[in-house]
This record gives sequence, structure tokens and C-alpha cells, in this order.
Amino acid sequence: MSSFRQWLEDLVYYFAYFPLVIQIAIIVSVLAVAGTVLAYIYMIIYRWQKEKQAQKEIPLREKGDELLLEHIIYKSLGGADTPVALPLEAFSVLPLQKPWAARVFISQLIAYRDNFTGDIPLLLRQLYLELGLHRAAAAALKSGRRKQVINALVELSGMGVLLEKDHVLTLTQSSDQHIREMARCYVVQCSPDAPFEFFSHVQEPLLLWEQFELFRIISLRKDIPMPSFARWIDPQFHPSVITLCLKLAAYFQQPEAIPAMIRMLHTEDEQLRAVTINNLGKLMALEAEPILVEMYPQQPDSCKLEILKALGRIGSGNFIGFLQQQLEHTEDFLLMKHAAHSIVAHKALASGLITQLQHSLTGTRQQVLQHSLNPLIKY
Amino acid sequence: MYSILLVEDDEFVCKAIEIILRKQDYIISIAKNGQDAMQYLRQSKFDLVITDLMLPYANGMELVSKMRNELHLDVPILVLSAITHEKTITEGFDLGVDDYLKKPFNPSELASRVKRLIQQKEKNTI
Repeated sequence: MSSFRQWLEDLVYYFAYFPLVIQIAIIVSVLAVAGTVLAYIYMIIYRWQKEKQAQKEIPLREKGDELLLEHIIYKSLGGADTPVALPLEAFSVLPLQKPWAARVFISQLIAYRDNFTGDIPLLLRQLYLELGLHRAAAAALKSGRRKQVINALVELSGMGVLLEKDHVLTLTQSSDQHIREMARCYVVQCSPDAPFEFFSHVQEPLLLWEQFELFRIISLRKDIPMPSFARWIDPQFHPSVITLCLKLAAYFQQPEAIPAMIRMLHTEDEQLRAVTINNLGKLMALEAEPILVEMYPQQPDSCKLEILKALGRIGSGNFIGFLQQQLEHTEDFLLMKHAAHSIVAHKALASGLITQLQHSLTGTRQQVLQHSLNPLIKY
Repeated sequence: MYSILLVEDDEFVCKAIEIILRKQDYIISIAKNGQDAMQYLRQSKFDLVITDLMLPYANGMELVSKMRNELHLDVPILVLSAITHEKTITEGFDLGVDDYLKKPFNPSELASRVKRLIQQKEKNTI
């Protein structure tokens, strides 16, 4: 011990006489070793704590599983006409007054809701409310603490419970991106009467992945009638909301949205115009065909491409000559490909034309047509 | 007492199905992957096989194919999977799947389908 101390004292004494480069090297090495040691210590403590917590949770999880399977899942096997009474007293054996126990049990409720259909998700939701487990989340929503608010939104979404509606609507306009996104998904997923109300007030854009998530949630909602999304296909709303509503109108096949979509064709936003054209095609909007053909020459390539695709999807046969002209004369490969594909999409209406084109076309154009005729190739 | 082989790697789903079907007086054996399932099938006879499609080592489709073409088993097969792709489902039926139930599932529906498949097998045996 004393020799180590002596060595340290010598090191400190001689350190001042070392060349600068050596001094820097020693400092960097000491910092690196100390940092690595600290990181490992932190990881070991973190894992130990997690393991300890997991061990502590095991009996609770087992008891929770046992109660849920016994009182909810198994009883629901009794038949659709047999109402399942919620035996709240049976769940009183769980120490749900402890926050960590409540958190574990709620995670189990969410897992059960995710894995079972039928009456079970509703029963679990009812159990969650009757055991008063929602109170902590309701308080957390108003806590103003970012992590707590997000966790509360995740929990309430998982349980399908809408609380503090007005406050949550303000959260959909929050300056914090994560809170805003979670709140929007939460409202769309859980609001029983006005899940799309916030669309009218969106100031910050719905990001692409957010649109994807909202689309997924909306497409899974079977408990409410879908409103006409044409309401939001209007330049006064945020372009990202219009984009989402265009896709939704096409997905839910709402032909009443076609006039609003046609009006959107005059937008200066090229990307939005392309999405509009795409969805007019998906709605098979026959009345849009002449407008699309007329606007074609002035459009950028992205919109031209969508017009060709839309004409193929609508497939009325009224503008098959236009598609033929594009296939025969365009120099752009993508436009050529989509013109050919759209001709083929006309099926029986185009059979005569296809035979004729197979003979008249040469080189790349003929290859593109042959490629489009192959039903195994999708693009 | 009828015996059922459950091929499922998700512990939660395994446990839930096991309890649901045990309560209905079925004997349940559990395999966590396609390889284990093949071993079970070589060693014992089952009245029904319930399998997921996404399994480690050998997936559900491979298992169904091996059961029908390699082991030549005529045991009814119920696929329980989150895959809803039409083509995959059709492919499964072509390979010899008898019934298909989508995850998440309704336990009552599972119990009814299991009962029906076993009754059908009984009828065919007679």
C-alpha cells in the first residue's frame, strides 16, 4: 500500500517534468480508463436494479395472469349471451395502491387487450376504470412533465379510455413534438364522437410517419362511422392534413370527396397536386379524366406520372388514345412505362390496341409494353 | 380426453391458450418452434395441431408442409397467426391447413373452432 502511495507521489512529482505530449497522453488515458470503469459500473448497477425489479414483479405478474385468465378470459368462454360480472373484490388481493404494482398490472391489462378480441378488451377497460387505475394517468396528463404526459397518453391509448378531452385537444397543438404526436394518435384512437376534430386546428405539419400511424389507427376503427373527409380537402387547412384526408377519402371510397379533390388540382403545391391526382385515380373519378388530360402538358414529371397512373386506374377507355400517344412519343422512360401499364390496365377495352401496338412499336417501347403485359411483374 | 399440440413461441399467447384449452379438458403439449414440434409429432399422436406461422428455426408453413408430405399425418391443423395476407392464407390451405384464426383472437372462437375440428376428425375416423 505504501509502495503504491510512493509510486503515486513520484508520478505526481515527476508529472510536471514530463514532456507536454506525454502529459496529455497520460491525462487522456486516465480519463478513458476512468470513463470506461464508470460506464461499466453504471451498466452493472442498472442491470442489477432491473433484474431486482423483475424478480419483485414476478409474483405480482403471476397473480395478475391468474386473476385475469380466471375472471375475464375463461368466463368470457361462457357464450356471447352470458354477461361477465367483474369480480372487483377478487382483484383486491393485488397491491394496486403501490404505484409500481399498478404499473405492472396496467401493462398486463394492455397486453391482454392487444392479444384478445370480442368482449374482452371492453371488459378489461371496464376493470381498469372500476379499479380506479386511470386516476394516476389523468393526473399525469395535467402534470406538465413531458415523460409523465407521454406515458399517460400511451397508457390511456392502450386502454382505449378518453380522459380530459379538452386538455388533450390542447396537447394536440403542443409545442413538444412527441407530446403533440402522441396526443393526436390518442384522440384519433379513443375519441368516441369527434376523433378528427383537431384536423381543423393543425398548425404544425403531420409528419409522414405520423400520417402513416394515424392512417393505420383510423383504418382499424370499426366502432364509429367515418365522416366525409372532403371537409378537410380544402386549401384553408394544413397541406399535411389535406394529404392525409385525400388518402383516407380514397381508402374509404368516398366519391363525395371528388369535387373537393378536383378543386385541389389547382393548388400550387406540386407534391399535394400529385397526391390529389393519385387519389382521384384510386377513387376511379371518371369526371376527373378530361381535366387531368387537359392539364397534363403543363405539369411537372411527378404530376404527369400520377396522371398516367390515374387514367389507368379509372380505365374508362375514353383517353386510351392519349395513353397510346404518350407511349409512342415520350422520351421519359418512367412516363413510357406508366403509359404502357395504364393501357394494359384497361384490360378488354385495350385488347385490340395492344395487339396493334405489339406490331407497330419497336425497341425499348415494345419491350416496355411486353414488360407491362407480364402479370407476374408488379410495380 | 383429446390431446393438442400447440406450436407457439410467444409465452403470453402460449399460457393463455394453454389455460383456455385445459379448462375445456384438452391435454396440451407445447413446442416453441418448428423443430421441437416435429420431434413431438414423431413421438406422439395428437388430435389437433395449433400453430403460429412466424416461428424460429422452421416456420409454420414449413411445419405444415413437413407434417403433410414428410410425416404423412392427417391430423387437423389450425393456424393462429397475425399474418392476414390473403396469399399466405391461401398457400396455407393449399399445403393442408384446415382452419385459420387471426391474432388477436377471441377465446370463445378458438374454443369453438378447436371443438369443431376435433369433432370433424372423429367423424372422418368413424
